[in-house]
Amino acid sequence: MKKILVSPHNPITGPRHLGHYLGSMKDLIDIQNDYECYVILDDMLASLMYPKERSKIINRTLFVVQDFINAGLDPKKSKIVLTSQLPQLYELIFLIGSVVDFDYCKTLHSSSFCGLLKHYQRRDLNLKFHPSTSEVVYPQIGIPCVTLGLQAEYFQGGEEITGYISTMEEIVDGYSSLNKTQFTKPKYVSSAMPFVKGLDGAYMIQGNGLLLSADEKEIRQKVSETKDLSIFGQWYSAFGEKNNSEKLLSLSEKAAKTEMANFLVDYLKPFRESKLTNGDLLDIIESSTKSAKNLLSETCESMREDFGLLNL
Amino acid sequence: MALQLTLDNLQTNYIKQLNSQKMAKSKNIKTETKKSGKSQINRQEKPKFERVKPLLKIPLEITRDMLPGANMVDENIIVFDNNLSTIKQDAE
Repeated sequence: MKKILVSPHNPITGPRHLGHYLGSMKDLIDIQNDYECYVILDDMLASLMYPKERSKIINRTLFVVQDFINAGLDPKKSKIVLTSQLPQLYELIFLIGSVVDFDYCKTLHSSSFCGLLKHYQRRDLNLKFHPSTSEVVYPQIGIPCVTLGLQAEYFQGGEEITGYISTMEEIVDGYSSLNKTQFTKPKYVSSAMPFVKGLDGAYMIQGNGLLLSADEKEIRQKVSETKDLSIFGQWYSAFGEKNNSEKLLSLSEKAAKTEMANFLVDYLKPFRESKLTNGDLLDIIESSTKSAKNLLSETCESMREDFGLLNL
Repeated sequence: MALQLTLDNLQTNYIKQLNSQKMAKSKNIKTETKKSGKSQINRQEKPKFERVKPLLKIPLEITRDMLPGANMVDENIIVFDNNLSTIKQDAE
């Protein structure tokens, strides 16, 4: 039986860009046959952190599912699950929460995205002046709880998720010393390129990046606007195109840009020509959710016994 | 004996009533969920492409070493290499 690997993602920005792809998605696709992979799209986190964007979360989440499939994730082997569809997760959070110190959670919150926001930034997002209980608790232990609940042994993604590793270790130590249920501490599976530079040389986000589903014209235009060609070298390396990376040094600026644009236009073709409908994507989510729910229920049952509660 | 029978009847009727209420309730919830699910998503359409804009008027500025604590990166965050002097945002 293959070991379980969890790869968490935030769907709030919808269409994925090269930073998402090279920083995490590509590596996951490359290793999907070695593990039983669960891609966790944390739409609950998106809803809690961005109340202003709630009407857009479903469409953006489906777009992310589409990008994963077009990137090569095999839905027959790997699972794509939304946190909002896992009622067992919220029981887990409640039970696991009993071994997480509130002050520890508050400290984690203070260095998290929401905790770092100034009052005027919270207002921009429609977040209340004071953080809610959900805001303090869920973003810190939601992903750790689903990972432990799925009995994952591996945890994969970009460097922004590495903080969860120590949270999971803290939970496992706290819970296992007091209870019969024993959790495994998941090992972090790093990406080959966890820090991907955008077209302006800064950390890639949508604004300075290139969307996987961008049309040919946009790809060529954005590549032509790049000022620092060393970024192409980083991208080629992340794509595993060592030869192109070395060749780059011998090319003129114009030729290097044309070469990179041609490469991207060709490589990203499956994203532009997607034929998947919402129905197809919902079916993929539905079948994935069943197996995730089974695993989480198994964990919940064991924990209910720890708590002296009935399992019907 | 007659009193026992009446009590039994009462209990049976009460349980029947409870069950029918339960059934009616779950039916209502199911119908509502189905309705809202349909209105939320058109299964025949493809997901709509959207270029997401930053929501913050002044973006959150962090350094790369703060990423594991932040747990996420998106349009509202600017990530600088580990050089604090580049962060212009004042401490509150």
